[in-house]
Amino acid sequence: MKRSNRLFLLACCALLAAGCTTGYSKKEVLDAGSQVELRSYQTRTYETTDKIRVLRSVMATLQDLGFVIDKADDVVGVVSATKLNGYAMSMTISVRPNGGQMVVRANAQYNLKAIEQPGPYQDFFSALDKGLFLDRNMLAEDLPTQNLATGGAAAATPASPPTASAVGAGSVFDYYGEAEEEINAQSYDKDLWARALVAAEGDEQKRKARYIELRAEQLFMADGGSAASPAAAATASSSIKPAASNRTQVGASVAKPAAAPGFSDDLTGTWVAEISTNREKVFKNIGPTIEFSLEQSGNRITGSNREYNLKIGGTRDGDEIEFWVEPHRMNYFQNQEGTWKISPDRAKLTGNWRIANMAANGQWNMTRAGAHTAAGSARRSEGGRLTGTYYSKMTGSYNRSNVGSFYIEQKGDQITGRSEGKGWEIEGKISGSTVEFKWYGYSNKGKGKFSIDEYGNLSGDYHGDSWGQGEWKLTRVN
Amino acid sequence: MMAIRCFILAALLLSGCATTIPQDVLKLSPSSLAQRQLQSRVYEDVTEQQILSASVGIIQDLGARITESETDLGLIVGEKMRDATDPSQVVGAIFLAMLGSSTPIDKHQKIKFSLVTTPVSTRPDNTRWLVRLTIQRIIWNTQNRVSRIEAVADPEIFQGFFEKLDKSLFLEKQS
Repeated sequence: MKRSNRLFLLACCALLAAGCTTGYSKKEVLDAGSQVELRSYQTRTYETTDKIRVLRSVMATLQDLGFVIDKADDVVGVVSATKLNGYAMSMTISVRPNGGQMVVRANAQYNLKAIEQPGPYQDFFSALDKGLFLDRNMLAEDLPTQNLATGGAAAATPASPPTASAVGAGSVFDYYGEAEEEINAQSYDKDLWARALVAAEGDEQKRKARYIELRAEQLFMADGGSAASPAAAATASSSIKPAASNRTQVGASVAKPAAAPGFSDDLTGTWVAEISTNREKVFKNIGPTIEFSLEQSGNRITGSNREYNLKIGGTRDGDEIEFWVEPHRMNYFQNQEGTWKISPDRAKLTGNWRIANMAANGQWNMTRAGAHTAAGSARRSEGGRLTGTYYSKMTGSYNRSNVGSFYIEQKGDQITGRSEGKGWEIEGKISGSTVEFKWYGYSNKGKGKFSIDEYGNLSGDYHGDSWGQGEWKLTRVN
Repeated sequence: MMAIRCFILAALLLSGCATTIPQDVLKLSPSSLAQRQLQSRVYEDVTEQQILSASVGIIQDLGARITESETDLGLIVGEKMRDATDPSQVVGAIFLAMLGSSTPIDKHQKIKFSLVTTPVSTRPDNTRWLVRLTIQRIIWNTQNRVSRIEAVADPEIFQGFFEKLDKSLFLEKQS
């Protein structure tokens, strides 16, 4: 018995001492494990030569994963970051060029131990794939502005319908069903479908799953960023529907008040604004009159001017609108807000704007443009067909299949265009009925060619400088 | 008796130095989108340099020292040591001390700010930048042990920071 006691004690001591080796050990300095296999988990190659972009995507991805970036160096190509969340996790990512490709290697440490399981690395790279391939501008579109967070709408009128961002904030999982339906109906986004194959590393079985993930995130972002279009609200899943029906209800009750003869009570349409200011530098680059297109949905007003990329939000209460300008161009527009009164004939909005913390203010009046200018309809002859040359006829807004609005402006034979929020921009030259263009996205850029049809629609294809290609269609809206 | 010994041995073997890594530690979750919203803003018509130098100024205003800056990739890191004494914790500790046990209380903390700028477009003349700030802190107690490590997620802190950045960039553009 005594011997077994001693044995037990010895075993305990040995385990205590060995369990957590703290002393210096050569093994830990040149720790090996099965290096070859580990390395394959930790490494992924990307078809690009743009080291800076890969490094920036690595940083953004790490931030998405809850890390704080500690160090970054573009010459060596290394980023280190830590995540503190009751535990300490650190990661080092290196990026090095290798024959026209970028090799990204990740090392992760959890508390004091290197992570050697493949799982976390696979998760990291799938997050990085998304960061590299998704249109980051969609993320930018989704961001809050101080005005929307603190401004009138939600706080002032508790009964107001949820704002677009509240609708979008549902959950990315609400869009999985929709993405799957697209596959079943074979109406998937070709570009994304191809990316899904890359993300699934050529495995057709996994491709579907990857597509659903990518597409759901894209839909989720797109919906949160811009005012949810009726179509989006209608096709979105059940958790979003109540919001949409709520909105039409509110709309019905608001639309009642005495609409005097003149214009419809619905404020949707083109408006010409006249803006005065007591501070020269606010609004300095904006002409005396600029056009806005307004949209009313229930008691919610949204508006935009694409020339200056301005966005207006507002809440209508009977004959009054509280509005605010989203501070996209922060050098002119900071927390501007104000009130408009709607004229009895519904043709004018009169009111003032102010920037509370700058003592800047002025008048802001709007007049309906639709009736006397008929600018929109003049662009097209009867039946919607274009007549004459294509020159000067391309300026207008277009619908980019499933993705959103696209605006083109033409000067002489040069065109410039951009998607809502400038995620995609093009610069091109018209010759005959074709347009050759260069395009720029967040994560990619390249060239392409459109042909213009008799209705003013554009269709063609594009290819990236280093990867990616596909068809691109723009349908003329006005 | 034998059973107990076996149990102790087994427990020691298992506990050794095993750290279990939580599943999903490197997975994107829907909550990471909410975080991104909280921590980021987009600025237009500015250069990356303007944002970075304005940010350095603000991090300095907050009393932190800059420990890392990388202009080609758009990164500023700063940190500061501060007192972390929480009055309610002190009262609790004194109360417990009267009962005869000494509890360590939070004494100081290291706060780290890390700010990253990302271009919104690949255009060479891009003027839209996404700015994302992340903050974390480590708290030590009176026994000099780490008592808490966490990411700071208080919306007011981020709002306050970006308000300062708005103002400072605005002034820079006006002058």
